[in-house]
Amino acid sequence: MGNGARSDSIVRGFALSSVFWLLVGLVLGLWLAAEMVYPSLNLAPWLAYGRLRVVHTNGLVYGFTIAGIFACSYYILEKLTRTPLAFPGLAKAQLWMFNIAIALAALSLFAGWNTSKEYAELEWPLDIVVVVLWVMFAVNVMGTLVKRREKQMYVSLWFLIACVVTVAVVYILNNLAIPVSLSKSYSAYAGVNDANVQWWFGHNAVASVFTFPILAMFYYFLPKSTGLPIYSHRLSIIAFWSLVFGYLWTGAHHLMLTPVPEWIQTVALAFSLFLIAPSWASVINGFYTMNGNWDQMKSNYLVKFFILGITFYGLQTIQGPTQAIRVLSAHLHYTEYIPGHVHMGTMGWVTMVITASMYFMMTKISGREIHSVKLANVHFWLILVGQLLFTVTLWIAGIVQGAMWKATNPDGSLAYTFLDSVAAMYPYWTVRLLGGLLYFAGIAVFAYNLYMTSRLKARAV
Amino acid sequence: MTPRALAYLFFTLLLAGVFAGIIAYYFNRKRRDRVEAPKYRMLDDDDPLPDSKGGRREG
Repeated sequence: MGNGARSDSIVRGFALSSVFWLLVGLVLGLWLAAEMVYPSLNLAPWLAYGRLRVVHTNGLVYGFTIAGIFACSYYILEKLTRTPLAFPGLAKAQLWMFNIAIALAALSLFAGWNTSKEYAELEWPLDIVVVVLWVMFAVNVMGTLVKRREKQMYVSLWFLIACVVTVAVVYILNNLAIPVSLSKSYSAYAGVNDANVQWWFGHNAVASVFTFPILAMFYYFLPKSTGLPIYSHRLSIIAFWSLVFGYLWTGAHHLMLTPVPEWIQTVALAFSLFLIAPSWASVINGFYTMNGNWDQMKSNYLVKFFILGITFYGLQTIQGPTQAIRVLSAHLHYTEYIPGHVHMGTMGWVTMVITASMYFMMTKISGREIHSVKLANVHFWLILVGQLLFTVTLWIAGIVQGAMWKATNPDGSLAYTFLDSVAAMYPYWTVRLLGGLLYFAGIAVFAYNLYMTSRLKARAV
Repeated sequence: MTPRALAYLFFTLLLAGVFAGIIAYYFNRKRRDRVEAPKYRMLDDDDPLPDSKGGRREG
């Protein structure tokens, strides 16, 4: 296979870009967590919470995660098709254009250009750039698949195709807008329809960015790093089709107990509960793959990232659907419980799998061992403890917050004012900041370790 | 039942049927070896000889 240095440099470029945006996004996240504890850090307008928060989320979703997806996808694609990338020049251009676009996106959000749609905040000129970048990616993925020398496609390729298609569909449809100036546009939808389309996009962004490609990585890198075949390929294929079948209906569970028609909410709730089955099919597949080889959790530094990652995916996919149940949604929605839920998925599942995949790829590309296994273990424990401290604290905070909002006196009046509930959050926000600091320390160790591993390549050449 | 409601029902049943068909196809015992083959092939050497056709059949 002509898997030459050119493709390796593209994978390496996207991987290092991903780590850069991860560090930037986490610094902003730490600043936001600190703002909650020390409100004087809320330096308006550029560092006001409202602007900073969207740079944090967009930086980590579109900067870190998407760059990680590009890096891992190009790597996996070449290996599983046993075919060189169809258009390496296009991928190289995509790498440069991607980093410029993310920098411009961050600047625009800092400046207050914002559509006000969550995770779709970018204004129309940047939306067009995002679509062009995605088309460049899709052309390379589909072009390489068409040329592939393996007849049967391993499940990771199926998940990759789903990622390419669903991101394109949901991103374009939700971002349809009427521009009124360079920095302002209005949604093509109105009222309840706008909310419904927005959360159809919002939840499928979770599917197509945080689920499909991360499962593609998990199904590829777990067997490759352990030397063990996945327990059941058939089960993984059924899990794939079930996820694709079920995910597109679940968006309205973000709109429980709102003016959205009740039947739409019920359909979303039913499909959310249905999704537990295919999600756990992947969890079971991962656990059974390790059957009889659990000693690798100690002897192989990569395995614990993948196994803990899929465990958090399993927990996440139980927690998400149960939150959609009306009685629980009534208590938990709009509280700190929700960011707690999201961060278990992103800090646990997504980041654990992407960072471990990058360790694997970078050692293969450099043809050397990792710079330091000890540092990789330090990275693992810091992000595990940091993430648990962060998320468990927010779950407890959310339950307390919801209970305070709904507590009533015997005469029916509210037992607490809203400010009482804000004041009660300070201890939890302080612990969250501490968890975030630990997590950031772990990621800083990872960045150093990965950079040193990639430098070995430069020295070796 | 209105034609629109019937169309929704038909579409739902069609999707459920396609989904059931996919499960039946992949869990058919006759296809087991073929469907499970990729999980072993992906573990093969990543860099085989340049003229290797991999698992792809000719023609």
